[in-house]
Amino acid sequence: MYLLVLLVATVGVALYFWSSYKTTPQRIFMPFLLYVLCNEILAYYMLNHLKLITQPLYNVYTIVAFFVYFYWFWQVLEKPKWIWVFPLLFLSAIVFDDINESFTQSLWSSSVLVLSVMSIFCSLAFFGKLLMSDNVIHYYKMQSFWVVAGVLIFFIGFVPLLLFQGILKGQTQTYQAVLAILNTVYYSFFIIGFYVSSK
Amino acid sequence: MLAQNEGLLLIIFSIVFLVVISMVVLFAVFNERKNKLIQKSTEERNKFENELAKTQIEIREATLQNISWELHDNIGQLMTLAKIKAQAAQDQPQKIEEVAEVIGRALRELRALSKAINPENFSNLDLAESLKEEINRYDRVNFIKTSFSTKGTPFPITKKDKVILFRIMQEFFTNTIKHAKATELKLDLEYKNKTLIIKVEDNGKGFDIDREHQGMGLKNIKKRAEIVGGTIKHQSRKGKGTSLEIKYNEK
Repeated sequence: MYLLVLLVATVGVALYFWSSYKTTPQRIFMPFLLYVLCNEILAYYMLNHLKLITQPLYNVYTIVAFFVYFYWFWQVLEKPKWIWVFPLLFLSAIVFDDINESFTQSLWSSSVLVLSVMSIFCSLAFFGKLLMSDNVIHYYKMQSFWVVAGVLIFFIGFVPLLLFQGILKGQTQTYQAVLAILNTVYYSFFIIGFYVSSK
Repeated sequence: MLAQNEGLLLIIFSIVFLVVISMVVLFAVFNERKNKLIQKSTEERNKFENELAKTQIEIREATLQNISWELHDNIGQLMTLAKIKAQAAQDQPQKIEEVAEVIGRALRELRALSKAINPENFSNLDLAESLKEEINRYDRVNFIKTSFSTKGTPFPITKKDKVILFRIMQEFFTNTIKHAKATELKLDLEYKNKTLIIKVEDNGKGFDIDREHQGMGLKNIKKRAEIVGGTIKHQSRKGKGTSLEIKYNEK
């Protein structure tokens, strides 16, 4: 429920400032956030009212999120060639997960891991590039800085969570609490990003 | 159970710690870099301002030298001629007309000089007009035969950059007059897309650029072109004259 409130707030801010970033690569986050919101509502409904498992929804989310991040990083990093290694890795991870893990019964962990690694790697590449440019003087006024900071910090926290998933099995509340902290940072940075885009 | 709880707490603490540390490191690195760039930019601005002040002093000195030349070689000569004619007119009153005509010419030259050295005049003119006035002055005192042309649509140049570009050209003109023993000076300005190309050449004695390229004059020209974001191409060969090309991009 907390995540839903956070998402509604983020989508609200994203809609409010839409005109200030609709011509930038960040415009892709508007439909993406709407999709995430619908996904979370559906997951909440399935889990609490229909008593269904939500893994398929999150597996689809992983695929969508990967391509959204990939496309966005491809644009903001000015179309580097090396980035194409990640879709190849991701497709391999999907094939691996499809063979070893059930799409409907479990989360595709290899795919999520590739998504996380790509996000961390591309975020560091973005920051490296930004640090070398004169734009760093106004870094806090750049929407892309806040988006990347949110993505990087989220995945830096999420990768250990993913790796310790075995230990955390059955500790849903602990898992949810950590995820809530990471989501708070992630969406707060997005909100700051949408806000600074109007300045 | 207790050990498992401790393990979970450790994992949560580690993740939260990792997130906090990442945020602190991220902002510390960016702030450090930002401060360094601001410091560098302040230093560059100070360097520019110092160079600008130095350039303005040099322009003033060069202008004073030009006034001295013009008073001595042009207006002074006219006044001497007027004096000789006035003395002759004592016996031949019909020559008084000639005296008046020479004094009239001297007055016109004096007015032109007065206008040219007025600082307001320099600030009100654009770079092309200022350069044209400068080389016209050399023409007027018969130092050198000059030609001037402009091509393309001019774009605005900041006053500070104009001062520096003007001084670069003035230094070239002075070198041409003082050392090159040239008889012709050609100046072309071309505004091409968002670049101003200034080409100046003389037909003087030239020099071996490879041997004498370390000279202060060229170093100054290069340094000044760099601080306004321009590039230079300097060419000279013994007996074949000297040329300079400056490319300055619109800001």
